[in-house]
Amino acid sequence: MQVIRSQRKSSALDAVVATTLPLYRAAPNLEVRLEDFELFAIDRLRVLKRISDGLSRGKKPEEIEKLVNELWKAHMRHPQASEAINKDIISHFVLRLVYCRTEELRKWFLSMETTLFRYRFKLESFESQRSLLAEFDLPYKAVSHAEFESVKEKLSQVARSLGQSLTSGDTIFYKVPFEDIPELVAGRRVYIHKGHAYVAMNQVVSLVVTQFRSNLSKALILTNRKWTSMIRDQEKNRLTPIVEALSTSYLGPDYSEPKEFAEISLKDIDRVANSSFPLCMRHLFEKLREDHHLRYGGRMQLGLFLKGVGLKLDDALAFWKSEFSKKVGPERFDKEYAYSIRHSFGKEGKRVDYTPYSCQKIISSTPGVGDHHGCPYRHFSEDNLRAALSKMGVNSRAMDDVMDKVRNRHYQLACTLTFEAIHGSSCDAGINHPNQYFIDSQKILQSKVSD
Amino acid sequence: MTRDEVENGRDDMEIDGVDPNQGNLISDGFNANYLKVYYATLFPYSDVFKWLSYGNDGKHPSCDQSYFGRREFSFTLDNDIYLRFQSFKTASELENAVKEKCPFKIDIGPVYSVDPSKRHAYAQTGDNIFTPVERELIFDIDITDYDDVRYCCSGADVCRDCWPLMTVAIKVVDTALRDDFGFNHILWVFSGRRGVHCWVCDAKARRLANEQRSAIAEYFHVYKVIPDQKMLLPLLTGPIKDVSQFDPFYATFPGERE
Repeated sequence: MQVIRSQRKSSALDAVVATTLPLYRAAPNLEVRLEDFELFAIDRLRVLKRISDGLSRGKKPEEIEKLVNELWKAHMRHPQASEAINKDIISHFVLRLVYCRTEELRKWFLSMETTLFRYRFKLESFESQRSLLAEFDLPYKAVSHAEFESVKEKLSQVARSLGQSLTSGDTIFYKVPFEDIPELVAGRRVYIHKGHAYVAMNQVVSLVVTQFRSNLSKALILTNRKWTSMIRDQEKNRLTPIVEALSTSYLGPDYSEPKEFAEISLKDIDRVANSSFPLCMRHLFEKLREDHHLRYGGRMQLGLFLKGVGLKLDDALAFWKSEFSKKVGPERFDKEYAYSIRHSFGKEGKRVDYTPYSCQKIISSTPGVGDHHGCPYRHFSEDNLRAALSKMGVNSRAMDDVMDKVRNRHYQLACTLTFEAIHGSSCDAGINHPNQYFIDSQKILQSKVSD
Repeated sequence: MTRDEVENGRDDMEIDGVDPNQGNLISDGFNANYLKVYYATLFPYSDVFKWLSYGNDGKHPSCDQSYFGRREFSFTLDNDIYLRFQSFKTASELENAVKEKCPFKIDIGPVYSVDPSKRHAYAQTGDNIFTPVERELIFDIDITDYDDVRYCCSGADVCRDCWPLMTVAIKVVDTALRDDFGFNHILWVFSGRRGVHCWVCDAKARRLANEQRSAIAEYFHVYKVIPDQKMLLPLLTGPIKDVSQFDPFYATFPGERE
């Protein structure tokens, strides 16, 4: 990429002119180490997913702008400053492979990358924006001085209606067909005459973003073709498994080694279940107490969660035994169920210490009749969900917000709102894992106790 | 109009050459036979064909012979049966179909990528698809949209006092479409009951994407509705230095303006 090379040449002097915002027009001619291939992509994906969360939560543009700035600094830096832009470009192109493969993935990626670009562009300096604008090669002409004078009155009227004024620094306007800037037209943010809009320099973001989006959209289709016809097979032993895993990956900690709240004893379990379990685990726990039995899916989901919460193997065995004995008797428990509990703790068979399920995994499971696992926000009827949340202490105002998220299939956001309503504090990172819910809940409750 | 209204002889409703007191000679309301007569003698088939061909019915080489045939019409028949994807290659095909089916309502749909009657031969996605390619930009204004500022009528009723609201709307929208957006080929028609339809037929308008169409509609939103407070919050802020800029629209109103 030309951008990189010219940067390298002038980097000795730390030149200001080269932009830090790549346009991802062509795949880079760089060598990438295999581990960087995956790691860079994961870091970028963290940024995109948090942006997605922020948008779904209805955050305002100023908040998203701040979020983008923080996320980029947090995840996309590189020990060698000059390598940061490579990481930027490489991660983008790797994610293109990941997200080109279905219509739904493409739509999500397009939306997030465009949003990311929009706010990064806004954070750039005026000169940087000007040069980026030139790189886009847009067919718009700047308004001549004479024409500007003739429409100046109208332009100031529009500026005033936006609560701004026509400062002299802003006298660069571009004449753009109204079709190219629908959002500015819709918001009445430009003066239009006979189908031409007068777009101020600071509004040029819209134009650039529209172009970016359109270019990326086309590129994704082409990438998909190349992927299905060639790359996927060629790389089936190397890159393909990485690419296929990335779109469904859970990116947080795996809670297999509970750290702070390690010791949860059996006598505490009913109390903490009531105060700190997320709805999915609460439901399983209640059903276990009620029916003295859970089917396989439920045993796995709840059992691994309890392990993550800090239940030791011996306590786990005692816990399950005490419930199951009431239904099947202690001998049958030892014979039929104890083994699989030990197995899930990595004490039997191939000795894999299974990790507690993330929200992603739980949401995608398909409980049948008689099962109680899965995500209740997804599977419960509206009435049942309202009743269950009410029992947890969610007030009616928050309830409506939660239901709204459920209807839009944002199950994790619904759970996050539930958490916030019950604990009376915000959870900015969003709930991605039941054990995260538990730990955050306990943190808040502990700090309240010590107050 | 009901029979009562006819027989009470409202002075300002004169039907040419008919004495309103001869009740039995005019049937009340809608009559399918009159519709047949209308289709047989009055419906302007060749004008409609000429209009919707947008010049493609000519002879010179750049004319697209397939254009009119790719337009969808839909018929609503007597028994409420709704027929979509009707298409015709010529004015006389259109004429024959209308006369034969005698639709109670005709809707004009978009122009598709291929003849709608052949749509099943094409895919839903990919390259060779059946999809709309052109559609007039249409605005639909009902007098009921102004119920919160009308005191004389409500619902589908209209009178001389409240119709001026519609006139103002027409003038505002028409002026903006021409001056601001540069459209020229605009048709305003009475919708038949309680409002007007505005058909913007410029080629540029017909090729607008959904996002652009809704941007134009939103451009006309100068207020925000706040439902629970039943309030309309004006969006246009900033001082109006000179009220006379609204003069063209005040001219139709008798009485005070400030």
